[in-house]
Amino acid sequence: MKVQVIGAALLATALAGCGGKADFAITGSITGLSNPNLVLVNNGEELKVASGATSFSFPNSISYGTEYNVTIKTQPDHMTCSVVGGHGSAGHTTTIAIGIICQQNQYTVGGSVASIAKDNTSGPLSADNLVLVNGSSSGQIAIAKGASSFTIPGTIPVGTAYGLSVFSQPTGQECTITNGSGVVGDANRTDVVVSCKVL
Amino acid sequence: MKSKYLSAAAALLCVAGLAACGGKGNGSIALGVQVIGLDRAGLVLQNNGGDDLAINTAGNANYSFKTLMAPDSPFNVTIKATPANVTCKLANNTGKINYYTYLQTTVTCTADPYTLGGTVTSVAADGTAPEPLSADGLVLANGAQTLAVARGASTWQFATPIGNQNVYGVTVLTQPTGQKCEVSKGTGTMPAQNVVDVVVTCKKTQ
Repeated sequence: MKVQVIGAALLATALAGCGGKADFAITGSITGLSNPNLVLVNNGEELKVASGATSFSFPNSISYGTEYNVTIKTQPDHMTCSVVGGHGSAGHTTTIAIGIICQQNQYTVGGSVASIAKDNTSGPLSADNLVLVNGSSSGQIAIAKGASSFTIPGTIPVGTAYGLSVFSQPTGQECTITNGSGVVGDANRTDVVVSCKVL
Repeated sequence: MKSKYLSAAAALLCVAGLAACGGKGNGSIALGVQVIGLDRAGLVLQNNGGDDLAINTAGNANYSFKTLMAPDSPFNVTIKATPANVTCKLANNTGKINYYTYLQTTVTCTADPYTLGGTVTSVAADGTAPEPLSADGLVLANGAQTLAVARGASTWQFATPIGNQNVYGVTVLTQPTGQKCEVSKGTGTMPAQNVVDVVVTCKKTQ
């Protein structure tokens, strides 16, 4: 029984290798797609792919020797996908197997930092030792004396929460944070305000 | 007389034979270990019950035992000491050493995790009359980790525990309807025990 199955498989492979197959479906696998509105295109033919899909197949097959060239026409919401092995000639391999790899877009979070002197004038951070944290997600974020802006290290995927708080106050100053919490959208965030009062 | 020489030669052979078995030194291959996730000093590994290898550098790296081993001699990596409040696990730690196996052993360490939580109260606009959270919609964040706190709650706790010695910082991601919450004692370094003393106080604004 097993031998028969293997034999049949071998025969099919051999036939296909000889060009025995006339039509080739343009198919592939998808990893990481978790948002809607991905549109693939092959030589003008479009294919909409739903969120969560792990494979795709264009409705029309192509015949032996026909070139295919699958590219991304529209990226899904909040994601960037890339195509691996999207170009070739039908029959070059027994089946067409294209890979689509998608990743959530990522952006930075940051903002401004200022020290407010006793006479109420505002300027760049005028003391050492200010350390912020983004919960347990980004480690310690040290902000150097003299800074007037900051960006937390690394990038955060769209849809992920962040929340900044003061882990260590600068020497002789007390900082408060406004706009320190949110959910990352489709752009870098630069609206966090760290305001440090000289005590 | 002759037999004396013979027995001496036999003794020599014996010693050579033992050495070849990987009893001690005399080899050419350094046994390596891949250490993953170590965040503090204090890890000590052994091979075949000896040859202590102390690792005091945090981070992922490969290390080698000092004593070189003869090809095909058996190795058995064990943990002699683990840093405080860390759990380390061995994998692929026994075998016979050769080109393919000399670096197959992995030690994966994680800081023991503990929960992060605290209390929540709703108070009147003047700060009096504390009661359990009396509005919907409060969401707390510890960085990327979020927690919806239901009306009626007087305590809360993030679902995923956090490794000791990590930093934490609790913020209000979404204010409850008609109240404004503030967090105190919300930032620190995770101790080797659960944190239960973060205070969330929500003032009624209407």
